[in-house]
Amino acid sequence: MAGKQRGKGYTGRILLVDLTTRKVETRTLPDELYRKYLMGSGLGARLLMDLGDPAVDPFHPRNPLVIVPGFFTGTTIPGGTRTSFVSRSPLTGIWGEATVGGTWGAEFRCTGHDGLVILGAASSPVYLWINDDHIEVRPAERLWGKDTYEACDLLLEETDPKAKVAAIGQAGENLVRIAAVMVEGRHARAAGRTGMGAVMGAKKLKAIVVRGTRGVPVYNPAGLMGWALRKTNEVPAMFGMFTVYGTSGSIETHEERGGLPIKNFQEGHWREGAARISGKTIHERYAVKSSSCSGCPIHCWQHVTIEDGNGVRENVGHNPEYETLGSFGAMLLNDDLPSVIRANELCNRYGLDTISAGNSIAFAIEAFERGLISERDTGGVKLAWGDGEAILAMLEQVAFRKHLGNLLADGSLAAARKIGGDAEKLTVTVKGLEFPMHDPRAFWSMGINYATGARGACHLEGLPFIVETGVPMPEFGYNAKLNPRITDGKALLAARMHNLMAIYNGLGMCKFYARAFSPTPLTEALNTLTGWKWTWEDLMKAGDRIFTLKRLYSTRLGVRREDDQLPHRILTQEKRGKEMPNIPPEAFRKMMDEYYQIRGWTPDGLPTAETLSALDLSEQKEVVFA
Amino acid sequence: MNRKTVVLKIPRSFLRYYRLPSDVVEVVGPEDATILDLIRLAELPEVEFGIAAVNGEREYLSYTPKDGQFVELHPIIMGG
Repeated sequence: MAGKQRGKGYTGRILLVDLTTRKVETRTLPDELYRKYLMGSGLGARLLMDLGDPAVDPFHPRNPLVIVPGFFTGTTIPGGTRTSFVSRSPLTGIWGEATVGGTWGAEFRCTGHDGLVILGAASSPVYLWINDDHIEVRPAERLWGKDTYEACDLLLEETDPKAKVAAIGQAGENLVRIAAVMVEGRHARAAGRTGMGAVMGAKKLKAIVVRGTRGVPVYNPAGLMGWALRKTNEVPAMFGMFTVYGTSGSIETHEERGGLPIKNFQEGHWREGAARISGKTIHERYAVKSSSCSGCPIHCWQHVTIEDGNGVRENVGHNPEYETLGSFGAMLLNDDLPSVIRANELCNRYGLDTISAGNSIAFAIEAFERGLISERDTGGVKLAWGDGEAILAMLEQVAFRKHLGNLLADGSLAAARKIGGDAEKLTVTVKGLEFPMHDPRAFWSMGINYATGARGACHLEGLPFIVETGVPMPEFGYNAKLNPRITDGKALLAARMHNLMAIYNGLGMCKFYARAFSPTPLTEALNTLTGWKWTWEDLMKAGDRIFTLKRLYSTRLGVRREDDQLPHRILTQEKRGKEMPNIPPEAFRKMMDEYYQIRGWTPDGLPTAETLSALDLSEQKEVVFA
Repeated sequence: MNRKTVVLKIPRSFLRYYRLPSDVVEVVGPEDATILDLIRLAELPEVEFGIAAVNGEREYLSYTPKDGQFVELHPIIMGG
């Protein structure tokens, strides 16, 4: 009798759903694609390149939305939880990508599919119901106009209470270019960045509901279970107070080290404010229970309750993460924690990226203060730093495209260009994507990371600063002399971390695990899952290839060195006097020259033919050099 | 073996998260004690620290400070 066939770590099957024709198709992918691009946004990039035309408008039906969980998502590997949503971004017009944790991706993989490509657009609202091999496009008129919490509740009633829901709120429906895809209702995990929620809205796709009953096919199940159990036991002890407070517990440390942006990147200190909205305060006064993404032993997030207008405490879902505390707290000088929690809830319900939304409101407040806009533009709302009511009013304006919100709904850079004058100097973006809450003046490696990130200013695409704070990466051989505010070594660090995080995305690993998993353990897990015999260098090469492919997507759309630029404020304004100056433009140029050289790109930011050949991307030459 | 005295400085905000009397701790330990050894001697939360500044110079926790040196412990900072 023949032995049972071993799993490969993937099924090789992807779903194609054309919403225009309602045609559903399953395709089998060659093994080579998994070896070249892994899964997650790596495979997603390749599918987007193959199936989409980058030249079409992001809201055009021919712009696909590609959804691919990572290799580890749905397995027992701790931290393997994430799923990538990729498309041409309606916010930036270039490569768009957002990843999300929770349990949706694991459930999707249990349907027996490795990915989902949404093509076309429906003529009226629909949702997609995927129940193992049963795939159905269902009407969603009664859901249209509902927020993500309400929509999730209704969809679970209509399908299966054990199903998982990824949905858009009113922001995505209204084609707000900073709209997120929200996962699992009140659990409120967000595929936040670059406007993927608006791509769903343009397709009239309210939600994707999944229910799967199969497992991920594993090459060495006993070996993987042993590896995963060992790491699950080891990992929590490496995370310290993160296991109690999650990301919100770090806001005071970020403030102390200078990484927290304050008042639209204008100020240097906000110690008491940070303490008032800190993870500890949330934990003591508002948290009711902790929770986690699928199979993660860290339990880094919490559900919170706040009082409604009648003094009754209501569960408003997920606590604000560090990024949200920064963007609706420090960036707006708002130390009223209930209003930050409420802003987070509104973003989750409307389906808005909290980073871009907070940044855009910070820009608006400063523009208001400087007289570039007035109450005539804001529908009578008087914008002021720290005014929680005004902040919540602006969020509603953005989600429903009212008054000034209609401009901010296109992102802060587009809004500034319409306002004119010096407004653009008040924005803090790269390629139109608003900065996360990691000020590069504190860690210059973040400057080069943001400038060259495939989707714009993104902290998760690189996280180089974590190495500067001591996260061990023994494969890279760093020593402690990596001073945060000098140029030496920063381009190499940024390039390596870009490659490593491209791997994290391909594997579906939560980035917080970078504290525990350098390339070597990741390779061990991948080999046990797939039966491959890779070295960590093989894995890093895959990361290089994935990162470069994403770059190629954008170079096809004209992205060059002049677009890899840091904003005016970061290059010209100091943060804490001599202690934390601006990044001098000549220092930035030096790091950029080095980065391109390390990558094998021309001085104008294009990968050379030799580089593409070395990365087995030669088939892309025609596209790049046409 | 000779003993040495080293001053460890932790981030002030940690006082709100851990029950510590002060953000400056004087530790006496063996001459060959590394920064990590001294953190353990002082019963500080070692998992939170990744790097240190010794009289202003960045060093890993495996560095062996000299008697009388001032060691500022820097926390590991992650994304959000």
